[in-house]
Amino acid sequence: MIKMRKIRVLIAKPGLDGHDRGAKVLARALMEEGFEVIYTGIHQTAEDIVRTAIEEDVDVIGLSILSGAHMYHFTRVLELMKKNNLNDVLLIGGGIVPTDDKEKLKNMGVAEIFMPGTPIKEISEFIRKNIKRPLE
Amino acid sequence: MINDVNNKMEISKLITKIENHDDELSTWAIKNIKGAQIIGITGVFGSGKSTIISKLALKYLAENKKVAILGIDPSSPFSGGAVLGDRIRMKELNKYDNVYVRSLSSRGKIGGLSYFTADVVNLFDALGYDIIIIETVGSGQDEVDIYNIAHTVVVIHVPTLGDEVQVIKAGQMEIGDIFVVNKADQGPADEKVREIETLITPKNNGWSPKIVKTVAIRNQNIDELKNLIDEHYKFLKENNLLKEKLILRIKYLIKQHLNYKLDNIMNSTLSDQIAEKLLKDKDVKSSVNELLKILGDNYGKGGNI
Repeated sequence: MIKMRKIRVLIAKPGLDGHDRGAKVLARALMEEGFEVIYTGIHQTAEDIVRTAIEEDVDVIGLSILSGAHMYHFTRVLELMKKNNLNDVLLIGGGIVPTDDKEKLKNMGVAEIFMPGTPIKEISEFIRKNIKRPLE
Repeated sequence: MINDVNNKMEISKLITKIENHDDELSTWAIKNIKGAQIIGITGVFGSGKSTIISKLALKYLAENKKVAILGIDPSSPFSGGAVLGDRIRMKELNKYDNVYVRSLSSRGKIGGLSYFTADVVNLFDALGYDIIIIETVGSGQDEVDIYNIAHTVVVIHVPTLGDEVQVIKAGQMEIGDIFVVNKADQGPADEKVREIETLITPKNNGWSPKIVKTVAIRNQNIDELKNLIDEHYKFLKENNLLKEKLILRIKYLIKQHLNYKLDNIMNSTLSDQIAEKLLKDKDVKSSVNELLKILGDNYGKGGNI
């Protein structure tokens, strides 16, 4: 029997955005995919998010943003991730993000942005393929 | 084993290691136990455990103590995954450097904790944390494992749930050193207090369990709760009972390491073969012995299954 560690995912909602249905659905769905999902609720600051990522030793940070402030929040989280050497953590996002911004974010270092209607399997497969640490 | 005990990133990796079974690190932690105060918080889901812990942590932080919080949530029996949501109620702690919050999945273990919770506790103790607060899986009646790890077990109740028969049942009502009736502003809290009072008798070690009403979300009576917890710890200390608690914790740890290995075997195809053989021509006793032999062969000689 090969011992595989669990993939740990932080699902967070940054800033003033109370629309958490999507984040909760995703948290639940990724649990059903066998991941350990840390869900921290709404109104998180970038500092909260990165601190949680460090304390929980996650493989993935997933930001759910429907407020339109995605450029600001992703930039700030990326900044703090760099500052804290979270180089082996995958940053992904979901929500309503214009296509132009999506490209910009990906160039900045966000691994992927998932738009409304994305099948859950696509997200879980993306995570399995792209996490940066070995599962041993 | 560790270079910088203040480096959260480093601590974080160590927890992951010990949580995924690392005998060497577990041993290191035991050898370096300094004697942290360990508080266990248990109770039905939604009773306010996480909120109470957050408020308690603030009190200990105000005394310049280093606080570690372990929040355990259940794993899925189907996928093995988990949603870990205890941190949601602890957002206010993010302002403080001297607190570390870690969420653990129960990873298939029943009893309210995970296989390696005792190891994580020892690790935080060894790293110099003064207070370790453990939040069990939101529990019903049978989650009593916390009794083996914590110095003080706090059982959280809420008004309105259950009649007086619930409190005379075996299990969780027996392990509480302190009982809390939280959400005391919602429903007949005094009635619940009276129900609990009728059952309280001094424990074998001489401690009389205490009851306190709280409204955690509004910080009401959290000082009283903290004082009772510290009073109980002082009682253990003055009566030389801390050693006894430590032995209990280490015994529990050894048992969980064994359980983990046994469960690994039972979750492998080896157990299918043994079950099939038992159905055909074996007897229960020889099947169990065969399993014990597998356990010994695989682990006793340093092997790994």
